[in-house]
Amino acid sequence: MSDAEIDRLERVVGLVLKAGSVTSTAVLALGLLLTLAIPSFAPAQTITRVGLFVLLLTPVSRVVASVVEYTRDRDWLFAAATFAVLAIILGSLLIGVLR
Amino acid sequence: MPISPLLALALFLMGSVAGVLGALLGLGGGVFLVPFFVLVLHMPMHMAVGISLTTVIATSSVVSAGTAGRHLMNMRLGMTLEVATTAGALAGGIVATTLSARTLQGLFGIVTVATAVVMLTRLERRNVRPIDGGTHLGRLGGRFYEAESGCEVVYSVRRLPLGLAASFVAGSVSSLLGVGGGIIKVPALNAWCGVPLRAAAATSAFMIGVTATVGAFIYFWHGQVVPSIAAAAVLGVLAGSRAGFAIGARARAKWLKLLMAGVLFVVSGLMFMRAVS
Repeated sequence: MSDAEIDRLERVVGLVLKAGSVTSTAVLALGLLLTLAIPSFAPAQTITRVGLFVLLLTPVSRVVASVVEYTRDRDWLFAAATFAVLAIILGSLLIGVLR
Repeated sequence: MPISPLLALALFLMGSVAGVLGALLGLGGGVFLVPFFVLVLHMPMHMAVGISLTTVIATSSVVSAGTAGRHLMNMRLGMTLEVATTAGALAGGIVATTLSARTLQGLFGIVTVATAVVMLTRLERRNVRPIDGGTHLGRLGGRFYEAESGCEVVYSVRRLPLGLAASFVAGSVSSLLGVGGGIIKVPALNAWCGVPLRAAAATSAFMIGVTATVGAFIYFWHGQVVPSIAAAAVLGVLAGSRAGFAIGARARAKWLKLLMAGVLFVVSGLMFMRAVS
């Protein structure tokens, strides 16, 4: 893997993490403030829940982005490693579905 | 636990304090957050762990978004070790749901004592590592520019199986106790695998987000992660760690570590007492 490819991967991953953390923080703050200000307002809890999911999906998205990048670079060893991580995360999701 | 303005404020403040301490010490805030929740708010242990894991994810994402592009975190090493941390987190999360709060609190006490001891033994350790010449990067090695010495640090990764084993343990501990697990990975990567401390810390911070996500999903499905409670804690930790990084540039690391080791001994004692009471 060349330095240019490593640079691009770091940039892509950095962007995904930044977008996810900014979005989730904003949505969580909005949801929490609405929940506190207007307790009877049902959508407020949905907004908080969406914020939580964006937070949880941020690291998952950067793993997906890495799988894509490594596959694109034909770096099969690391494509396989990141894919294994993705499979384990899906396993933790599956536990919930099976319950 | 229904959310009220007072509870939200308490969660935010505790999150902030944990975030400041975490940023100053290079730990996640979880090791402080879980005892705060359990001892002060009387939150059920499993809920405290689940909520704490969501703050670990937030910290990891924010810190790694900041260090990305500086080559400090070693993504190839990180993604290799993540196979072990996430597997550990899955195992730890499944086991945690079968353990009693009391057992988890006892485990927490043990891990915090160990954390304090590790911190005390590394008091004189400096973050800057002398550069040995002629190092080959190998498949997992890395290089980064170090401002202190004005040099490029080049390193290779040795004893990968030990790194993988430590990562698996760190992942299980993360899910069991709601911490990031950096306290296990960073010394292991540094001492056993030859990764410079800064690179080890940045790589660990990168890995804990994915690791904590696996645990957080498991606690979430068991109804232990209440979104509004998580929201208040996450916002507090993010605000606190921001402040912590600003203070951290000026504080004396040695006294900080001594102070925190003291705090950890107290926290550990309290969690043991809670476990046996």
